[in-house]
Amino acid sequence: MGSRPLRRLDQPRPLTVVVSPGGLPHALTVRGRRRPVIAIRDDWLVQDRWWTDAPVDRHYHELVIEPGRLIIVFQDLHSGGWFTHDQGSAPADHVVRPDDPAPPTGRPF
Amino acid sequence: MSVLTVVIPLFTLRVALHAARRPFDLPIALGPQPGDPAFIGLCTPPASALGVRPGLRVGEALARCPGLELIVPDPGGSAHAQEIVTGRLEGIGASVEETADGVWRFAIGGLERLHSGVPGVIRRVRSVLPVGMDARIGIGPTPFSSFQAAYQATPRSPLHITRDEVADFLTPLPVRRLPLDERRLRDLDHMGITTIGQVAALERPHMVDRFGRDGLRAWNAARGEDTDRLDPRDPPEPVEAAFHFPDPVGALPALHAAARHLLTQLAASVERRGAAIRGLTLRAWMEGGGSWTRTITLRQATVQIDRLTITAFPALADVTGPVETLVIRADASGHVAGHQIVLADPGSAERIRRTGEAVRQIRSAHGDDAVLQAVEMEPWSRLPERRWALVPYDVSTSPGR
Repeated sequence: MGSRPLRRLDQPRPLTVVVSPGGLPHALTVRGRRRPVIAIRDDWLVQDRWWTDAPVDRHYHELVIEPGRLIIVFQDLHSGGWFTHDQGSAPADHVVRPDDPAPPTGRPF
Repeated sequence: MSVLTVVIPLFTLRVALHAARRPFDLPIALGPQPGDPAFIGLCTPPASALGVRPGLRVGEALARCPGLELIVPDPGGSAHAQEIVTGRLEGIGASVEETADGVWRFAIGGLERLHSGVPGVIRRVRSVLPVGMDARIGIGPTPFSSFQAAYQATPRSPLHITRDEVADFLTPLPVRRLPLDERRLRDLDHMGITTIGQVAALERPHMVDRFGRDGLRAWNAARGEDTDRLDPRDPPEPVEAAFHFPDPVGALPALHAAARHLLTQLAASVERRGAAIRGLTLRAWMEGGGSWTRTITLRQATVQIDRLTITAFPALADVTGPVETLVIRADASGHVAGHQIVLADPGSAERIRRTGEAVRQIRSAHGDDAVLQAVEMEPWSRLPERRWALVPYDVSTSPGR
């Protein structure tokens, strides 16, 4: 009898990110369009699963991009690649200004 | 009647060594299961030679043998290997009784004619035994003598004891081989009785008077006249399903979802045969080696998914770590007896039936993956992709059923 694997949600997807000389995200390519980063609202490190053969070492950034959309991206510190968990389905009214206060729930992780 | 016994010494240790790809000629022992007291299990001969023995505390064992290597016990692997050997022996026509891990015995009366005599039976049995496990074969006129013959045999040379030879064969063996508990063995030792032959020389009334029914049983065994009847199993009709997790999973909701998925498959498969599930064996292969296993016997043979899950889910709470693969084996030898039906069908049953029918129609049109549901995997994880997963939608667990 066969088996069916689980399908995980929120799998990281690669993202094209232009970084500044300081290594911070400067612009993203979202659905083929270049979106400048208006502000970096937050950033944090996640190190996990260091006890396995596939340790995780990520630098997350919470960004506001043109035209005011919030997106969370991260850089994999092993490969240097950029990824996002965002599946490109953020609601249209999910628009914030760069100087808005942080969400009351704090960091998502 | 002649009885053939197959013995693989240190069977569970050998299976665990094989799974861990470790050799038998190094000082290695089975460590405790996660969460169990820190005692040593079976150990290899080099470890025994250095003073390690089963039941020692881990600290004491390491003090005696600093180079001792501990490996994780693999009860699931042992049960699986035992089942494979039993199945192979049954495949040559034997009615096999499993008396312990690594011990199988059966009467060879019918097999002698099938395989052209005792040498033919031995040849056939050896051909189905696992290679490299040092299996030993003994044949004797009674179960006890047969087991002792296997114990004395070597992997290359099976030992066949005939009825005429059994008394001479048993006489020099140590008395500790007799089926007596530790207290009675100590009593025999205090009486200066050290060999089976000395027990056989005792008068029957003396033995019965001193040791009761157990003494009589041991006395019969010592004389090669034990009357133990073999109790071969009824070969089950196993049906098995496995679920491989892409990443090891420790969260109970995810294990429940996987188990429900497997039980649904098994129940459907068994029901199609017109049978019912009498028992379940849950097996989990753990991350980093090792396994966990639990066998459940159902009070009533059934194919109802609710009853199966109610029985199986509590056992999953005992899984000791992240699981790579979950396997459920069902014993499909039960029969669906008449069940009492309810007088008034609750409305929810009809809603579930209709929803289930709708889901079936969607799946038939668009494939199995057309209807899925999200289950929590590791809600505490800092990695978003490890928190939730999609599994095939199950009507009976959907919210608002």
